[in-house]
Amino acid sequence: MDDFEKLKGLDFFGEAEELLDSLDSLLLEFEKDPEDADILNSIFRAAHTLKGSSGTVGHTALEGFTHHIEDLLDNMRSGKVTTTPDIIDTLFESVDLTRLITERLQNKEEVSEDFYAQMVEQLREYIPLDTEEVIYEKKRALDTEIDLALIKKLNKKTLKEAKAKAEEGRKFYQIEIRLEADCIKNGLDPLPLIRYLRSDGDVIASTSTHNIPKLDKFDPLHLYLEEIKLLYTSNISRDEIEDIFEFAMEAGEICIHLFTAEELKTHYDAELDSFWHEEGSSDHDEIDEDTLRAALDIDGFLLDVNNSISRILKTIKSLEGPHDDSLNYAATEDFSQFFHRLVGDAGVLGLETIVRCASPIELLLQEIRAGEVLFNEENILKIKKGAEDLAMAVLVISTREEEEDLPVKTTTGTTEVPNSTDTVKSLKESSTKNKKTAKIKATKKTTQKSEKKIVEPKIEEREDDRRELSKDRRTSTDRRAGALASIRIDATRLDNLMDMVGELVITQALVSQDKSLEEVTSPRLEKNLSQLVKITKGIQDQVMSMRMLSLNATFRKMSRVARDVTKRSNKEITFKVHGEDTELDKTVIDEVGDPLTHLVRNAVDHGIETPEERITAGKPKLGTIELNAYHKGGSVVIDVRDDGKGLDKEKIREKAISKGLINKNDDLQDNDIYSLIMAPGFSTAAEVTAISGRGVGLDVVRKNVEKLRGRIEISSTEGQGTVFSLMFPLTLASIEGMVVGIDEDRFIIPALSIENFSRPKSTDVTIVAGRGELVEVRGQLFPLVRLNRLFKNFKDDKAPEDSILVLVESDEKKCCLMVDNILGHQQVVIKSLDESFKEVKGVSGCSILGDGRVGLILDVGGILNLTTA
Amino acid sequence: MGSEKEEVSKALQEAKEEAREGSSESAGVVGGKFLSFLLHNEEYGLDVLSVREIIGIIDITTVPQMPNYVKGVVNLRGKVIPVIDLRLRFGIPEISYDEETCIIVVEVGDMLMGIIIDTVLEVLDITAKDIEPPPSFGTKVKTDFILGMGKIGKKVKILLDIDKVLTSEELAMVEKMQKA
Repeated sequence: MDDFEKLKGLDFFGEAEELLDSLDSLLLEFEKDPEDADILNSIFRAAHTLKGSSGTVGHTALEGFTHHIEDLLDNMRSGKVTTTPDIIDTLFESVDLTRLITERLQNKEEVSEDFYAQMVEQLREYIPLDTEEVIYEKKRALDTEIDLALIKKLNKKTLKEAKAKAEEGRKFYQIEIRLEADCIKNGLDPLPLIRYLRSDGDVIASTSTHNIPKLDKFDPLHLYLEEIKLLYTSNISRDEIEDIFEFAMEAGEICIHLFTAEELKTHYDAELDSFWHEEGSSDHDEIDEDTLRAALDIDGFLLDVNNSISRILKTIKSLEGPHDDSLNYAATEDFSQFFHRLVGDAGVLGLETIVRCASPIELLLQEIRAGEVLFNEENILKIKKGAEDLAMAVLVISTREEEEDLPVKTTTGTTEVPNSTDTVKSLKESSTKNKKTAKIKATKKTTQKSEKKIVEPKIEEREDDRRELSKDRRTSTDRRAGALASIRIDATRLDNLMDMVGELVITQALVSQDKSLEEVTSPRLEKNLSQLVKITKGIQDQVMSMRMLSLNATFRKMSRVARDVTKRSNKEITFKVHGEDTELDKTVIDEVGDPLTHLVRNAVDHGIETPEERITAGKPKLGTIELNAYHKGGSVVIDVRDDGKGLDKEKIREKAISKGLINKNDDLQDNDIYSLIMAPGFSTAAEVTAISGRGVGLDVVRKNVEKLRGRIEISSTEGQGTVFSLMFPLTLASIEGMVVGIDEDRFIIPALSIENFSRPKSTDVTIVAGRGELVEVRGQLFPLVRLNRLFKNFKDDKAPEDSILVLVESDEKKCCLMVDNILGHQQVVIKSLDESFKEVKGVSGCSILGDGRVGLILDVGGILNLTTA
Repeated sequence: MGSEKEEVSKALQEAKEEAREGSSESAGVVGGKFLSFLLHNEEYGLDVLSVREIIGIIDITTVPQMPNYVKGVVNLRGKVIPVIDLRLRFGIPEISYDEETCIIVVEVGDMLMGIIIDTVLEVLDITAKDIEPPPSFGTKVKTDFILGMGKIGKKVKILLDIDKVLTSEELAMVEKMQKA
């Protein structure tokens, strides 16, 4: 039980944090465009969910407070309260306070009402008094949107009756019941409640039954109906209905909406009229096979699209790094085929949102293929953006299956509610005209799924395919749930898994390389072993990717920081982020927030000048701060760039001399001078602001970054701005490496830095007195580096002619490393050397080799520096 | 001889459990369980709570540019940990490793480190009254590494403060001294 409680808590706090983060970013967007009702709706929804979940896990303080936020938002939504900058500020503050409350709760601290009473007062101030009553009512049950789709789905006869009754003066309600799946176990069964309702009026119920399993798997105590919608005509009042559902409200969500006469007139009558005028439309109860198949095939289709999009995003990612041009070509072909097919299929299925998202990309890809447009970074970015939008659209469509009304703006500007029933209907309309095409498409999809190839099916095979389809249909719905869902895992479990996988890989290698295996000649054993290798590798890749997170959330937080600091200062600033999809190891993501916050704050406070100063300096009034994340070599770089006044080299120098950090005669590079501002005790805030405008707590920033094995570079142009570049290694990344041996020692040379291998003749080596050795490779002279001499504590070396030379390159500098032998090419997992070894030059890390020993990974850049120094 | 090491290992794990169940305070000067080992014929002790495990000598990968007492790194079940030769650390002449040589894996802060010693002896209970403060001078060992002197019968064991022996500040300091 304790464990369960803990898990529940964990889940909740994770969710709450995510909701608060999204509230933050939504508010930022909303601040930019307070007219946008969609954003306001999303904000409301997030606040509402937060309130709901805190209630579910019993955090009443949090529930109580978020309730007030929700109230204000609701009033804003209904137009009773006009959005002002003040309100947005208050909302930001409330989100912060909510975060505080959540943190307190997480630390098991008590939170009393007094803690947030002041904020509540502030929130309530904005709500006009005459709505107080409404608020009271909403406390008990949520009002719900009128669901046209539900009305549409109803049997027209029933509706007619309902309407007639409503006209007699009876009340007409819409009730939505969403209960936890295990509510029956807890003694709550929705059915008797509905029966009870029926004793006082007429109930028309609607729900989705697709979750109900086959009889042999059916659990009578499990509620398979996620949502039940009722249309209820009765004389009883809203309060009475609420009484009926009193207990149910605790175990789930009950939304009651009383249709006003006006609503009945506008929505209901219009719907009914159009409904009656529709000729030959079948009743809801008799779902014909075509509709059902089409509906389910949409699921399959969405799943396919979703999978393909993730594949495409993956390919794009690989294109972002350095790569072969042939890859570009293959990718373009692949992408354009996919998008072309997608536009076609989605068109037939009537999924306009998808068509709208995909067709611009299709056009772009066609132009790229035709050579009219270059396949450059900008366009890759466009495709990526498009693919992401598409993924979003797919997500929206598939989650909307249960009539969740998320209005999607169409190009014509009207708002439609394209839920699955609508789509099915539109499909039906088109299918009467185009029945044949639809069927061919459907069968085509099946073949595609099973063979992953586009084969034009023969019409005669259709019967077989249809049977296959029904099989596919079931698996596809099952799979869909898995494809889109995510699971929260305790990070330490992931770490343990990571370590264990590392062990698995080594053990597997030890087994496969076991000496006694050499005597065994069994093809079966070999086959199984190679299978084992593949699986192990697969697990390793998966686990590693699990630890990678995008910088998205971090950057969103930074936007918030920038906003807050800007508000407080008298600066005017635009904040931009790029590359927020760059992935980094979780540890780095977790820890990078603090140093970034500091840098962003510094940039606003001290980097950017006041508007007046900027205008005098001939710069645009609006300062710019940019966050940019990207891959460079083996590192991930995060730039914090501002276009402010920059650093004053001379003043930093003077200060450093007076502080005794450097000597008067020290000849320092620009870089070194800038680094001085990060030296501990360089200066206190006030002094630095006076001389350079930077340096506040920068030593802490540097410490934090170095803790993550990163480093900071600063570049600055006076009067133009400053860039702080934070460079982090991909700590858990693996690299392609060449394992070489020198005597008993093993080293790994990153494959990327290797140019070639050669075996020198003794005449190729020239000794330059006092400067070391040079070796001639293919007519060019390179410095010869004997690793054992360089690393001193290694044993004596061989003659060059008995060795192999590895020509390596870094930053356009080259040298030849002399090794005894080449032991093989392999993917190695980088492990960082311990803290105490941070100072080691020429070694970037280490890795555990196949025999369980540790091999050092050579840092070619470092070796070159060592030799030239 | 190998079996002896296993016995000590077992005793160590038991003692650790006991120590955790008990006051859970670090043994420190207040006394408690210590793992004793031999180094150049002198007996030393380490608080069992700072000891993770005992392993035999395994392949050590040399890391360049390190002070001589840092022997390199080893693979401890997937974790790469640094290894220090305690003889060299204390300025005692090096001897070649044999099957009695052990690596004691200790926890320093939140990281693991291996220390190479001649051989492990046993797990001992030393009460606070049997522990005397470190002498101000007169031993081969710098006294700030010493937690106290434990008396068992007639023998005296040097109880080490492993954090002080191995912290990276200490290492960094030594490094700087060597560079200068």
